[in-house]
Amino acid sequence: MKKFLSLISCAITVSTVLHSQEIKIPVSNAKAARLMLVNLYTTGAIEGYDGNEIIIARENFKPSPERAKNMTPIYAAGNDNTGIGLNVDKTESVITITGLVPHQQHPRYHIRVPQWLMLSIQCDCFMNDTLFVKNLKNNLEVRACYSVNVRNIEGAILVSNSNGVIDVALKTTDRDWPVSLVSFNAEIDVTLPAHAKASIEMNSVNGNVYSDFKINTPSAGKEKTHEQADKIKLQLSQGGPSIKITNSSGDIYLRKG
Amino acid sequence: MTCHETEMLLPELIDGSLYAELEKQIKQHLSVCKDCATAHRQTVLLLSEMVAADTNQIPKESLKKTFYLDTLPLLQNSLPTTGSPYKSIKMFSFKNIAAAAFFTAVGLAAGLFLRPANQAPITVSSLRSELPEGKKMTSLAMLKNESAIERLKAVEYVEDMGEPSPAVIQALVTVLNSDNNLHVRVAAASLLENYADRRDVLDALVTSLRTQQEPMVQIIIMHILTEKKEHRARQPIRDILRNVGSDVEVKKIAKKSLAEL
Repeated sequence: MKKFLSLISCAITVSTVLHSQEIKIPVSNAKAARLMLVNLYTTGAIEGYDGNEIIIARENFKPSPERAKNMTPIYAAGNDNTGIGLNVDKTESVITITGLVPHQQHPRYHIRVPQWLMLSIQCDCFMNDTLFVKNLKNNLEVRACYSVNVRNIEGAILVSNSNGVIDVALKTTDRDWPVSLVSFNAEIDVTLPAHAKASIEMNSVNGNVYSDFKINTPSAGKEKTHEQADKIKLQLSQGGPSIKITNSSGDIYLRKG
Repeated sequence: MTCHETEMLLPELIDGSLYAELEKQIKQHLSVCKDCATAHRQTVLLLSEMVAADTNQIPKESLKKTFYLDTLPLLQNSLPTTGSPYKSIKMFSFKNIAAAAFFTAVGLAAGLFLRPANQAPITVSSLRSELPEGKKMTSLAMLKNESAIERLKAVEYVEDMGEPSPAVIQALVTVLNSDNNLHVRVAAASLLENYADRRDVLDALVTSLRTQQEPMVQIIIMHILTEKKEHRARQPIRDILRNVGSDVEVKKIAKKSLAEL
């Protein structure tokens, strides 16, 4: 029985090694550094943690066939200098990691980053899974085609997409950093603490705005001109950090958390 | 120590030129007042950028030549020929006073003529001017900041300034047309909408629509111009519709706008 169990655990370890590969990129000063992720298809959330390495694991990694011994894969998008289909380019303060594997091969990466890094994410429109990002203490910028879900970011949040949902939840508005959410067709859903302090501007050209906060817009009770009907400016708890939401065709939801 | 007093003394605090007691009072205020602490951080950032931008540290060759040919002989002639030069220089001799006056004149001339032609002198003392003027300068400088977050904040500061001057409008239009960050451009477009009753703003928006490639910004500008019934927008909107590369959603909005115009 003992032999059987140790054989099983060996097999799991071997299969784990075969099916995922991990790289670690050290970051000497995370607070002064910026990480750009370009066209990385992710599994799970891109998550900040209390450490000083960028850790990227590729799921379902298949090593090169025997015929490719002593050869390296070649990708149209760039040079793989990691062995897992990524190109890493480091300058003094900016680390750029580009996904090279074509989307048809469904590459998937699990990513953890030092929580103090400034993070910029750019996704092409082949990535139609929801992008999750959470637990960062610095600024986040995302440019995506589809849904983006953001939780527990303490720095500035700049997110833009074309379709799906932009879903942002802030634990606190006790911060000096702006939030800007821009979309074509997505629904934009923002959750703020019940006693949030914020200066909010919501502008939906062809959509509607909904909220469960008790809101008195500045022009309540006054005659509104047609030009101003679609831009709503308000202050929660007499104002605070700026939150700007701009949507072309989708609806905007402002929720009390 | 009030907020107004603190903000007026921020440049001196950063410069390290305050008396110890006053510095202590200001630091105490900064530890409890978030707004003033924010203003302090921003002033430090602005000053450090101004220092970093000042690369003209090395004197030009022409100044060196003037010094060796004209000034140095004068200096050498003013020194005593016997004994140690450091013992026998009389501070208030006619020659020393004349040399001092000469150096002052050379320094003033160098300051006037060596300054780059199109650059207004930015000094710490300029930040001591009235707060709205200081805020305007800070905003205009921040609109050129490397960080998109700071540029976004700059657009917000401009909004707080009230009716903007033509220079500020021009700065916003430049941001609208050429900033490399979508959020900053959208914020600039949204702010310009507040002043869309002004002729200069409408002119700028019509011109911008002719060259905009960013779909979201195209939509916002079309929306503003449609609301204002600006008929000059028709042609740029038709061009967007004809352009094969225009986004599908942009074309839908363009059709609607054209119908309303």
